[in-house]
Amino acid sequence: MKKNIKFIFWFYFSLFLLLIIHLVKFKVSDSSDLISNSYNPRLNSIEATIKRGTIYDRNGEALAYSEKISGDEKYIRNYNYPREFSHILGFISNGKSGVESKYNFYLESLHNELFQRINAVFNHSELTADSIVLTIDKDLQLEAYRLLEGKKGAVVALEPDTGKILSMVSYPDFDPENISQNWQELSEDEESPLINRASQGLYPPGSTFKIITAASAIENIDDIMSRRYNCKGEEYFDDKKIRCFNLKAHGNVNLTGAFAYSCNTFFSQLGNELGGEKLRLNAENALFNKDLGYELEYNKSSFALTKYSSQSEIVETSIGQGKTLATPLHMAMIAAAAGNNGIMMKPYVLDYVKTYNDKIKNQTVPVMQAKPFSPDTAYEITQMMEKVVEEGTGVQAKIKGVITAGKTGTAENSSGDDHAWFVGFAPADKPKICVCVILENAGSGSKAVPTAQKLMQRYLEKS
Amino acid sequence: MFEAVVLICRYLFVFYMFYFLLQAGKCVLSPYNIHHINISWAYSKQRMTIVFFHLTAMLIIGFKPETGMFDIYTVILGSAGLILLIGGNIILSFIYKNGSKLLFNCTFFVMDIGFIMLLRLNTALAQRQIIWLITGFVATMLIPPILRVLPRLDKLKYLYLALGFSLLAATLIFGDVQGGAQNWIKIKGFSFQPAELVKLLFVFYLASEFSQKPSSFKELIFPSAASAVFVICLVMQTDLGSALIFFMSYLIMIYIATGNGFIFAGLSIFAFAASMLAYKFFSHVRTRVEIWLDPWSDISGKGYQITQSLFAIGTWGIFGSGLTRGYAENIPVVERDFIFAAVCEEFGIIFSVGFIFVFIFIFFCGAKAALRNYNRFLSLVASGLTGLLCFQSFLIIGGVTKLIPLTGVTLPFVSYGGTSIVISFVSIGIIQWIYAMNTLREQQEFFDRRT
Repeated sequence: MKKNIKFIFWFYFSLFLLLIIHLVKFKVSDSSDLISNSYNPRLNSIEATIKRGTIYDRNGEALAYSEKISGDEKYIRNYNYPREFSHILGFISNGKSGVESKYNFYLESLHNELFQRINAVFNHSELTADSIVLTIDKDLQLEAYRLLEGKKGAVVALEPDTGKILSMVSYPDFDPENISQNWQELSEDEESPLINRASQGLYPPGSTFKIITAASAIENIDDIMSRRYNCKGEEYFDDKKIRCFNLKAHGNVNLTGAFAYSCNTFFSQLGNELGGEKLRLNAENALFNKDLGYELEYNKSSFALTKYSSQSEIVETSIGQGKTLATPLHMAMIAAAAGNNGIMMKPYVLDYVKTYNDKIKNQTVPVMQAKPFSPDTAYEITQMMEKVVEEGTGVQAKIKGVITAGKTGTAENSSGDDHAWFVGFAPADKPKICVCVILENAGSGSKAVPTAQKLMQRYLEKS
Repeated sequence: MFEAVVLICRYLFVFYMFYFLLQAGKCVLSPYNIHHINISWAYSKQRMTIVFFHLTAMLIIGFKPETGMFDIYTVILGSAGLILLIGGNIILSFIYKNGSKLLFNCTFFVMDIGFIMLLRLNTALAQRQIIWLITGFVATMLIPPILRVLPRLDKLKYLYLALGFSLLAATLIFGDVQGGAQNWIKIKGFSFQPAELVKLLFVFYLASEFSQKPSSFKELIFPSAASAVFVICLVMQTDLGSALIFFMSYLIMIYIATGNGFIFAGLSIFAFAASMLAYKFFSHVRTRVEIWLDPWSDISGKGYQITQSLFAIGTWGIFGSGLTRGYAENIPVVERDFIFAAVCEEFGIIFSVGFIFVFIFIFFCGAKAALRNYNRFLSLVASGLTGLLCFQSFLIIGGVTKLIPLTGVTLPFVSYGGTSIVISFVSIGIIQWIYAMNTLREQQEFFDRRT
């Protein structure tokens, strides 16, 4: 019987060991993600007594900071560019969102707490929480906001080889300083100003999706580069009619030409030949239906084809219509991957955390998120995207002295006029910036091109 | 200034815990002669640690920085608790002369941590807890004389069974619903949980049933059926935690009695199948599991309790928020089921892991009592009671940390709750009595051999 008793107690002992391991693991690795929740009352009460961390842009310019109004005990939050950064920074009242919410943990942790508290008692110094430094470039952000202001839409700019987000703007916006007073109005507004269109807005990608269709064709059809096709401006697949923009007949074109002039009939022909399964494989390699790895609020892009999809669905999807939906952030990542030898980097905005005594911690290291294209395919796509800017639908994106690559898109939708898309990067051989612009109901894709061009040019001039 | 003192004291609490465990470790290792220590010194050091822990915590809780004064009521209550726990420890160690001092020290330490937490969270409950502690203390003092008068406890199996059933039946008929389970009986404003008392009877019943080694499977049928009735009664009262504890006690006692691995494995598979069926047919079981899998989707409703508990455990650094600086009062029923989350929040994770180790020492002593015994019945009682306390602690600590689905049971010795405190106190008393009997017997044998 002694043996049996020993067995039982070893069994119980291992249960308790499991308990301890679980507890330590929760504390060390899981908890920091969970606790920045608006239902955690601890965070709100910490706010009142300590100085919330400052948020800086990549060059060390303060974007948001807390200060005490003289005579008042409580800290209040100030924003230097409230509307320009409204979506990316978010807000701290009414449930928090954006960077303020996601990195709340850092913004409210005191480094060397004991030392700071003792110092506060004797020297009346402030209790200062950790600050965070973003990857956002303030000047680029202000420029993007200026270009977008008044038009519904979004702009995303990122660094292709690291995944650093340089700018992210969404319009309509809101004023984070008066969010409580305007909350009712903002949350009921039909234009949904609280939504960050850049990462949460799901739009049909239109012709920008041809990057994926082209990649699938290059990887699956052997003689694709030498193939020619006669575009008559429209084409029938079963009962589905596919038309080129303005019914323009592009004549005898090859893949590069069809890409440059955004020929719908050629690409729906390709989609028809590839079939739903192959397209889905390429789309999911490029993270459609998948996590983007982005830490702030975003929506997953969706791609609905399977091997059972009908022909009309397939041809629609291959030109970016149908049930396919993508966020501007995701389209920027896809274009950036083409410019970065087919490697898609994990997008991020938090560069590092800085303590009150200027020590750096939690520096983000760029990591690969996916590999949507082989290096060869990425090279071919970049070549085709250069042609778009050189002579195709994106000529307005030309930058003097710099070879630029891009793709326009015109997305039919149920809300009215077509959405205008542009994704592009420069310089094409070693891109420093990749920009995605969407203007809701602006008409054709060419409308989005000048915004992207100005941003890229400005950024390249500065760096 | 006070803020800084509270923060510094966090390290002090961790030090107390570490020192206490160090002495406990030395006591456990001393029979192996790894290095020589004065064992009674180690016990005294442990008691001193408890006193210092209590005083430090009491002064922090009692100080009111707004007025710069101590709150008299809190200090008096805290002092009363200290006198009771230390006095109780000394008196009980005297009564159970040959018992395990380590077991008493560990039990009183976790009781003290629980009492301090109550003093911090709800002084009115702390005051009532003192009454319960006195009750449990008196009941434990009475165990040795009672057991001396009742020599043949192993022959009373039908009495245990009848008493147990009638108590459970009474709960089913007259019971009140509290905290979602119908497991309370109210008599003249005093409510108590019969299931707690039935636990003791159940262990005694199984121990007397198995006090003769079962010779065939037939002999296992009756006790299994009786146990099944107990478990089903508890499931009907929606007291899932107790149902699980009863089942586990049955499982371990049948294994200890028979040593049959097939029965152990078979019953485990059966339990798994039964819980799948329960998941399918009982909505309250399903809700529990769903909350466990994803409490975040209904954070303001059903998931509120567990997410608040996780916030409490996860928000602060490894030394916790500092005593009185946390927000544990936001967790519903923190004084009962969720007291571990409050300990985690204010004393920090290192202290809490140490706290779990103190529990492990308690179970170690219980296992030792069971292992040293020559009497099959008493050995079964000791392992049954220890196993019961052990599994109950695992259920609730695992529940509040979201390792397993939450079942509302109390943390023995720590949670507020009259019946729970008294019964776990009495269980320790019985284990001590068995331990003391062993010691006496060993001394007798030693003496016999010499003459």
